[in-house]
Amino acid sequence: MSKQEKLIIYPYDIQSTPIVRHPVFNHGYDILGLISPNGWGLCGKDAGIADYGGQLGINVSNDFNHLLDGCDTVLFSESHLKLDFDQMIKPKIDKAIEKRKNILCTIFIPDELLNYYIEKCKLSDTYFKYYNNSGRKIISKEIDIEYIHPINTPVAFVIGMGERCQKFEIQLALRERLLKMDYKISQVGSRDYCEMFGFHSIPSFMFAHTIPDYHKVVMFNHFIKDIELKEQPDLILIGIPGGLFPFNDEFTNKFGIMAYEISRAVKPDVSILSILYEDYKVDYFTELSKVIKYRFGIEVDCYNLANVKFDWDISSQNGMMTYNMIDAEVIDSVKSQFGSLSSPIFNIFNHQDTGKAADYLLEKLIEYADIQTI
Amino acid sequence: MIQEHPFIFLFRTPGCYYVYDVNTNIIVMIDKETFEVLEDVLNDKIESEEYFKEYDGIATLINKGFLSANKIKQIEHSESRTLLYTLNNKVSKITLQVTQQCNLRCKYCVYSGSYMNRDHSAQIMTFEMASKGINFLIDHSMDLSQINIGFYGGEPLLEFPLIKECIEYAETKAEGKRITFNITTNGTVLTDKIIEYLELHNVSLMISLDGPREVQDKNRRFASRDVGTFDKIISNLEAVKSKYPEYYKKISFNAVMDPQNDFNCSSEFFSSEEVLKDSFINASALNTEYSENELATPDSFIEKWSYEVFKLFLSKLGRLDEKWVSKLVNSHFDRIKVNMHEKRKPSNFLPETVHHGGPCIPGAQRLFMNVHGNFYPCERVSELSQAMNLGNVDEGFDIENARKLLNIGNLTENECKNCWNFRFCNLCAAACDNLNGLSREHKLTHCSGVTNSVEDMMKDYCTLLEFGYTFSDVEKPTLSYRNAEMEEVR
Repeated sequence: MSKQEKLIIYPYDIQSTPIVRHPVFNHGYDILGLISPNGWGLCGKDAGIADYGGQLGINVSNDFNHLLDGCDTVLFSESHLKLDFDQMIKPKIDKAIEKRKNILCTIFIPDELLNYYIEKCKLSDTYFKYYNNSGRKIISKEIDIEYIHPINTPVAFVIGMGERCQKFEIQLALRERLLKMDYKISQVGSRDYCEMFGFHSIPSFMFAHTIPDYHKVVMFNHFIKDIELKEQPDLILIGIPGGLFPFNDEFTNKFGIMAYEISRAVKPDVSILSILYEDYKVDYFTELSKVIKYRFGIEVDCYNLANVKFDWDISSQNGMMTYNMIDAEVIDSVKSQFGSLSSPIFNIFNHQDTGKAADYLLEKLIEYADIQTI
Repeated sequence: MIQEHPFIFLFRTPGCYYVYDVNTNIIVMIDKETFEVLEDVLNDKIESEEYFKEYDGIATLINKGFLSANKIKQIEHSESRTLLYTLNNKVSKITLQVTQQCNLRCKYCVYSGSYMNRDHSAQIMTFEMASKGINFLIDHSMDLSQINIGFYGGEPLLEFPLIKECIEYAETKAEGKRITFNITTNGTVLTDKIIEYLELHNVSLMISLDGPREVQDKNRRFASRDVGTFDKIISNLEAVKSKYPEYYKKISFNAVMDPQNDFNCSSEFFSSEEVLKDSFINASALNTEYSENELATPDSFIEKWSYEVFKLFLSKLGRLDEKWVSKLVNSHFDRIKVNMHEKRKPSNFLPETVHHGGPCIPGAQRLFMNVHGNFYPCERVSELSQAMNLGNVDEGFDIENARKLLNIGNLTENECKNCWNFRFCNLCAAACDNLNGLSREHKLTHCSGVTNSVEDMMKDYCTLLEFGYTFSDVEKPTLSYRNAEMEEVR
């Protein structure tokens, strides 16, 4: 077995936090350091501050050059706050390559520059692994079929009311738990660089503008069927990108179209819905589960109450979605108000809940399997 | 007598009758008879609930979901629960009081001695203190991609070397974040060197200028020699405009409207003065908070101002060329458009728990730090007030005080729960501060002014609609289907 590579991540913010919280890499990296630009306000603080999900025991640094010297590999990671590529990212990639470091990259790089980097790394006996599908050109092929296959393996959906409601965190937490329980899982993740962690990303054709929507439904179904046949998993875990419904006329979550297409392509056996933090009443969950059942054909088995609240005022003022975070411990006390619900509410940042959520979904699968229909 | 009055507000324009339904936040045009029945209900002149509910016009409104008597149950600001997070991660701006000294002695300045506030003094901010403020901003803005640093005084440009040091420090320290700067100045000490630097670092400049010589010099006079500032400012502006024309376009002006002055005289000046006629002018009212003297507005000022507003409406209706309308009243129309058209969204009911409009999130939006490193919600509150103190740069925010300033509705809970103007209220903590603390009585003195102003705004809005004005929703581009392709049109 090859030695563990020492990894640093730049630029670190909430987007990378799930990677630090979970042992997601399928082969060995030890996280040596996390670096943010000083202006992001994270430097000198525990990295867990980025998602308010509890301490991670590693402080964020602003000294890229110092940490670069001690590492084997640099992950240039896409971030929630955007940086100018030419000013901030490219000089650091150049420097890392010059110092003969391996590179993992999820930030978009134009083809020509990417090829140059890959060649340069090859020459210095290092690697440049690129995980970003956003620039990939999709060739639209005419398909003349409309049929979809039944998926015979149990399927679990991770869905969310919007962006930033911890869907990826849930996917990684469930993955970690299920793998520990020795289940063989196939997974399609809601971010477009999941191959870096050894599972599938939502395929690029789902984002293509040139493919008719009903073709996407067919293609996604066949994509999952292909995974089922090739990987023969015990469970297929699918994280659905984006939200389910518009928040209002201004913030529409792309109208939940992607969720609708995926839910037409594959019928889940169990699902967990992550909701943003609000002051909910019990009735809300009853109504919500009905709407989701009839619009998407998805029965919500349990919920995750995210420690993220949509900031209605500032979002409207600035014309872009912004959020507030709440200490993860507060979620524990809030969710206890909903003990009477038939579908339980979990807090993914509570370690006990992570286990309970996975166990609950598995129990549900077993329960559903008790009823044999012919 | 009807037990539960509908939660409504009735008003009329010269031509029509209206009911503002508080729960749905909708204004409905009604006939005179229905208006009178509703008026009678509110005045307890109708005994029979059946008569009321079965009256044709009323029944129609009730059937459509209007006239609910539902009221707010609890007053709490929606940001209360996330206040700590917001103040730790979303502080978007800090205004540094780089000096308490000024080279002018303006009669209505809040530091002039006629307000319950500190006086001008020789105190200046050290770079060490300023850099702590900048670090505080960076440390408390994790969620924001852009932050702003303002420089305030006294006259901030008296400390230009310190401002330079701060800008360069911030540019280095805020790596990865877009940072903007602005300075509010009296415009008397501008030099080529200063303008060149401000242009290079993209610093926005707002210059205080009240009007023509007789207006400006009446209030704004040099401290060292008792002469007015008009000539000095105009000569500075002419120099900047000729040498730095691109930068000059970015300079904005703030005109304090002293009601004792002739409105027409100032209005004419801003439209015709060569160096100003293309500039953006923000007209602001004289600060009445903390004033030791009663500030009355003469009828003549109101008449002239109202006539300009009338001309503004005519221009909006296409009946008068815009060039005849005073620049000083433009914001009046924007206020109507924003409050009545853009921000007023229909709802099913008033929420059970909510806070009236007005308070900003103290510390998050306009944090002001004085020369000593003390924090205040903005530069307009009195530094003498303990109630307004939000902590300091060394110990951080006083969260509990911030929570009180955010929830001033609790001071006047019963009045607010029954006030039809709950949604449009614009009273913030400054309106409650009598220097001894947040005062319920002091706050209540402002209520009639606010409701009268909103009533006028509703009437103006409805009158404009009656005359055929269409408030546009299309600030954003609209897609138009043409020639089988979608294209953007404005």
